[in-house]
Amino acid sequence: MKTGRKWIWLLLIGMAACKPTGRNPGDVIRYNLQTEPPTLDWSITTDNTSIETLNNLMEGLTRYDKNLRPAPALAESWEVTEGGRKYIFHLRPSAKWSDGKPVRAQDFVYSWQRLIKPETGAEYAYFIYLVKNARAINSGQIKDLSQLGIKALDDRTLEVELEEPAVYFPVICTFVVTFPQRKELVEQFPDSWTEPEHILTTGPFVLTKWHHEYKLELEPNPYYWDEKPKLKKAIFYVINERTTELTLYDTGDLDLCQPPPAAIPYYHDSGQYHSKPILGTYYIGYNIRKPPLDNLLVRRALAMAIDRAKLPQILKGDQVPATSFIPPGMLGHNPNIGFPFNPEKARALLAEAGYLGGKGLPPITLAFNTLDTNQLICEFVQAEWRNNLGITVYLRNMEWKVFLKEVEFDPPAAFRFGWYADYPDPNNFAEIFISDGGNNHTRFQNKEYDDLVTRAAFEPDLQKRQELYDRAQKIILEDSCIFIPLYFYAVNYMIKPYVRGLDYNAMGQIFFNKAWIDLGRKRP
Amino acid sequence: MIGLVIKRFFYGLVVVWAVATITFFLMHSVPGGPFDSEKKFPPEILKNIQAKYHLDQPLWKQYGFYMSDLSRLKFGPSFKYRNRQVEDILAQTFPVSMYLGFWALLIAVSFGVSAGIVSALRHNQAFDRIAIFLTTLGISVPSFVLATLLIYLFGHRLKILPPALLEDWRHYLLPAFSLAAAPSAYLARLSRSTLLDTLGKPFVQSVKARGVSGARLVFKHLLKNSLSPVVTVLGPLVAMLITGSFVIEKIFSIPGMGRYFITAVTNRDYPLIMAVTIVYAVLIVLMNFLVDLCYAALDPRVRLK
Repeated sequence: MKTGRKWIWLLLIGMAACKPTGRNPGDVIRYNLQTEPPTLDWSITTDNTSIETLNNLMEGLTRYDKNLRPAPALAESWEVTEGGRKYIFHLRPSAKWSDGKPVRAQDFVYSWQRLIKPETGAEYAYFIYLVKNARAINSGQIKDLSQLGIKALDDRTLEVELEEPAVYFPVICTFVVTFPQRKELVEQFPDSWTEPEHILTTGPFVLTKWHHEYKLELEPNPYYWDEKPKLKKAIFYVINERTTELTLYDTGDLDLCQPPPAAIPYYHDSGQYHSKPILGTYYIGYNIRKPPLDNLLVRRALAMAIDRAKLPQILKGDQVPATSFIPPGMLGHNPNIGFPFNPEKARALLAEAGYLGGKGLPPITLAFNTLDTNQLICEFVQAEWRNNLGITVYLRNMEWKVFLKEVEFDPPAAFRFGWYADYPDPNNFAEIFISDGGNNHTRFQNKEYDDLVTRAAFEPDLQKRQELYDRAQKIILEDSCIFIPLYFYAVNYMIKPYVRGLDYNAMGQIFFNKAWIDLGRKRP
Repeated sequence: MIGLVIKRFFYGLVVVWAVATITFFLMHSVPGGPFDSEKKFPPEILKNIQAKYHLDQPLWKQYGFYMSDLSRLKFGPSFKYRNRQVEDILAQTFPVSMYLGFWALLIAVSFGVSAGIVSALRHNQAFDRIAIFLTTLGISVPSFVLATLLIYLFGHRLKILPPALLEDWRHYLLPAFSLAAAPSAYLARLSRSTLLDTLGKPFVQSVKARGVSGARLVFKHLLKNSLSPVVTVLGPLVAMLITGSFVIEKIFSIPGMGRYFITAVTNRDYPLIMAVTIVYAVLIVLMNFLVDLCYAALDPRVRLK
């Protein structure tokens, strides 16, 4: 018995002696990506995790400044000619790949041709559909890739010709699918050129290790043209479970984390909790062809019967209640558009529609994809409609892909949906509800709206653009009332006090090139 | 013996083919496709992707392509992890699950069977009652609850074991115990009841009358006559433990194969769904064959045909 005890003590002492340090080793940041990047091939990537990783590895012609405006990156300058139809980018001489070779205009030509080639099967190829012949090549009508409106005039000069002038084109050039590629590398290692042993990058970091489904390690790119990162290493773990992430943050094994909503109240005043609004909107969509929501008065009544101010308490984070669609921080945002909470008026509208006190109104089905947050929100909406209007709402949850199929082919009367900005321009939000828009699940069609969105995309005058988007938002939120915005998204996160120079931008993106560990404040 | 192995190999092949075929048609009948996403893209793009992965072909043709690849042991590219071949994904994740599963199995068998033996030998005594209580607890407490409690106690409060991740051997301890708890409890109850059953048989009295007792009685006579049911459950248990657990791998952030049993389905990653199902089916077939061999070794009356 005594020997047994001795062994147990020895084991415990042994484990304690080599227990995890729980400390930042200095000059290293440990972050959680939450999911494995499905691919780091920037032509075919579509998900946030891969894009977040790539934004730290790669840079394109332009990048965002602090105000989310396109600023020079690999291109040191550009000219716009032919009334906005042609862009000429001048690459900076110091722009280099991580093997020290210069970035050439031909690297962009190859990458854009690969992106648009049908055989690549790139989902985000449509991001460059505004480039001349891009859509025709992608749909197989033109076979000759050299017909794409991109040309290398010399090693450092790139000419891009557009189908129509688009004022937001430099914004598109910040997006990962437009980043350059090294032809010889992609062709020599078609399935593995994004692995650490082969990948070449143009951004602040290089990928040095990738243990799939576990972690990625990034180290500074010695040939980066701009200020080199201060960190020696950034480790991106793949921890799916939010509570595990929080535990590892608590034990000091992570320097940054996004806590699960239930934990936010406990950490809210810790000094380590932060929240930042991001460009995204959560909404309840209507199928305006399905009774009883084919009745405009009913749709308006429902929109006025939700007290959105209660949502941040329910979600525990710092989400911003919304009545309009285009989020704050973006041109086109106008908080005075849409219907604020007004239960009296909502009841009057419902009575006017012939459903006094909700009597006679058939039950409404509100569908959502199975997720805790969606459940909370939809139950809240159900309670608000019942309490304020006396109507019956059935909730129906579905697995994600089943839900997507249903909203595409036979949308329920009401369904939850959300939209994050792909690029910080109101066009990305407004074009959702155009008549033939693939993301328009409301069955709404309106020629005036379509024209306004098209005009606004090409309007260089900011004041006029704002007016066009105001009018467009009034049509979808007030005149036709095709959906109800509920709140603008926020990223809720915790960060250790010794981490400096790190923040999310309004796109929800995080960049580690300016981050550093403040040794003076490092936890003992 | 060689004839038996060849015969069982062909039987196994038929089982795996049936599993693969049923899975193939079932997964294609579920609504939603691998490239459905919140952000819808233009129809020509969908067409390009479907052409690339042969999803534009009739289902019977897709089945033909798949079976032809499978006969060459190729699972094809993943639809979700688009730069990676499914066989590479399995080659990276299966060993992790297998290693963790091996430790869990070792814990489950050693704790479970020995607790069962001692319980049966001390029937209705204090040890037996405590063991009954603990095994009931082990079976009824879900692994994710136990895992959370272990993380809280050893990782968070006492800080003597890492709460998650996979850097060295200590990282395997909590997940292996969490994974082993339920099978261990089940094996303990099973071995206890079968041993009690054996203890009541007349031959035991005769062996005891010959003066055999102690370890010799337990290991040479009792266990050999009681282990068949335990061996029966060990087959599928081994297959289950070494292919990984979705819940445990998620909670401890372990890069194993278990997660794909769920995520491949939610992502509609057809090649990966097929691969994990086939691997699991092959392991079950293999384990059942080994179990049959063990029967023959344990009981001379069993003859394999």
